[in-house]
Amino acid sequence: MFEKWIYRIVIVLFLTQVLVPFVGLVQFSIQGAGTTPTLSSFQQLIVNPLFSGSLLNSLFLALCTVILSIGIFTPPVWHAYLYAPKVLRVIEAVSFVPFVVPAVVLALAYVQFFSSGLLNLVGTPYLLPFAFALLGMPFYVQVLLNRLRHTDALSLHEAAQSLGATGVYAFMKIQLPLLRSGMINGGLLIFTISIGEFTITQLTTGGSYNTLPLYLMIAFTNNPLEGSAMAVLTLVLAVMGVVAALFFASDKRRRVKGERA
Amino acid sequence: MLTVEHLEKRFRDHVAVRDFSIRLEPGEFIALLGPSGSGKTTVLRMIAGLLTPSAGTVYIGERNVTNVRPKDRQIGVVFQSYALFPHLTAGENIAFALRLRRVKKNEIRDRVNELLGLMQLPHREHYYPAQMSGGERQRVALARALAFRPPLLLLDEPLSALDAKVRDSLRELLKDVQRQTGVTTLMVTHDQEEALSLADRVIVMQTGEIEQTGTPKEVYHSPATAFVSTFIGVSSAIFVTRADDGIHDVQWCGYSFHYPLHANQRRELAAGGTKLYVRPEAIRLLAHPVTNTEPQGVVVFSMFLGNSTRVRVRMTDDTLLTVDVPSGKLEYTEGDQIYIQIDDPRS
Repeated sequence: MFEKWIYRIVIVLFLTQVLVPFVGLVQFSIQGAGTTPTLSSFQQLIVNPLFSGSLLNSLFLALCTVILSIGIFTPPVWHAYLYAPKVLRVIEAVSFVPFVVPAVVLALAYVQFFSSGLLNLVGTPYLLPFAFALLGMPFYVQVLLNRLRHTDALSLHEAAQSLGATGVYAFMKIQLPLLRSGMINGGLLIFTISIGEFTITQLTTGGSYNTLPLYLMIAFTNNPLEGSAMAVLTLVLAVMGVVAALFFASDKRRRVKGERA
Repeated sequence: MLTVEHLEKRFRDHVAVRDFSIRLEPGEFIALLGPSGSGKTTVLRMIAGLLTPSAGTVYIGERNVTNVRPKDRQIGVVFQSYALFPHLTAGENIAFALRLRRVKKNEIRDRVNELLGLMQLPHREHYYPAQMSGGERQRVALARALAFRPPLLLLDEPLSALDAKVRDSLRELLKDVQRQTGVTTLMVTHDQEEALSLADRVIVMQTGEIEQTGTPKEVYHSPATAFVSTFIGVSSAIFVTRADDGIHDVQWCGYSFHYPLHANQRRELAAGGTKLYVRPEAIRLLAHPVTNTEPQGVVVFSMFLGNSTRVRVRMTDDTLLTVDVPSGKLEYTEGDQIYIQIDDPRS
């Protein structure tokens, strides 16, 4: 009985910790300075072309980052896992660097490196997918490695080759379908990091490319009500995105493993 | 069919396989038997092309495949973990190699059905590996490896992950399938029972080298080394000399008897004497001597095993013998004075 109550208290504390800021934000966005609740701040937000523009920019950037991350991280991690355990240890170690290096340091390094010569890309959004991919690398690499360890990737690859498949065919037809849920989960983490990234975007573009976090900052400064509404909307969209992706991933997993008869 | 010459594999300073040579005739079933770390799986992986040899050559027929990629070797491999593709059904797994070879759809369907029938899995075509039992998965793995009619089949510990009952039934199925398809087979196993019951020839390996090659009976009854005698079953080592009666093979403590000898042992015997490894069931205990030459000993240990009782006897020359006495025969207890006879296992 006592344990049951402890368990309930822990759950309530957890939910309070998670939900209080969100509830406060929602209340502020519909209440504002007035006494009557209103959704006018949301209406203003939706019709504001700057909001939809920054939302589209952020979504586009996040999508580019996910595609880039899958493309540049998956093959080397897979190859190192199968054939070069020493290289894999290096990849794992390097992948943790963004954990310990603050985003502002990374941004300054980008500014320093890409501010002159042929690679004069500071002030443009072209660097952002690369920078975001670097930020999300620790998460993506770990999720992918977990999946590789779970699937006995080496035996499956060897089995495919012994049956007559080339390395590329075995990777495309056997490994990729099995890594899909890892790629989705890792991609999801990178997507959320990209959508919410502020520091690097601000420092490398100088505010010339409007993304959701940058617009949120401006909106909060100019119109706190609209800023709150935007934060709420962003949260709702993010939760919907996460639920949809998880549903998609688990559905795939069910199909891969099959229901036990 | 398969010829392996002086194969060697080094991992830095460690020699995993040293000077390994074998020749498999078409349709032959050979078991590579040895404990963990004996190098047997390394040999199999080098033959399959999954590991590059440090030295030596591998021929399939007349073709040197030492540097040929696994996909081009045309060898069926059954992995210890089955390695079935989890996102494909049993039928799709079996058809995988056929699709790669662009076999016509109706031919693929026929071959899949034929193999499912052969493996006694007629209703499992649309099941995913996760929906099948270990034994069923193993049979699908075997069917998949046989689907493209490879001239050579490699089995890596094919039954080790299964429980005893399933293992027994699959052992019979494996033998049946090998006989029906006639595929030349090399099986790696650490299970002596599996090797002796399935193979035409057994190769016993230890620390990367071949200890003995022979038929299951030769390897069992005439172990060439102490390692083979202890790794395959139980045996008692006795030092024998050539029998001086001109009738029997060997003599021990004045007692002459027939016993199959390995070539090395024959050479050693001619030079003076050799160690003989006698199986427990080849030794008979007697309460009284028959010819007055039978060596005498004392029972020092006795343990009931169900269908037999294992007895340890200390002989007058201090040799310790292990003897299996069939249940229902005279029972012996510790301290009993007995005499022993050694039967020729060939008779």
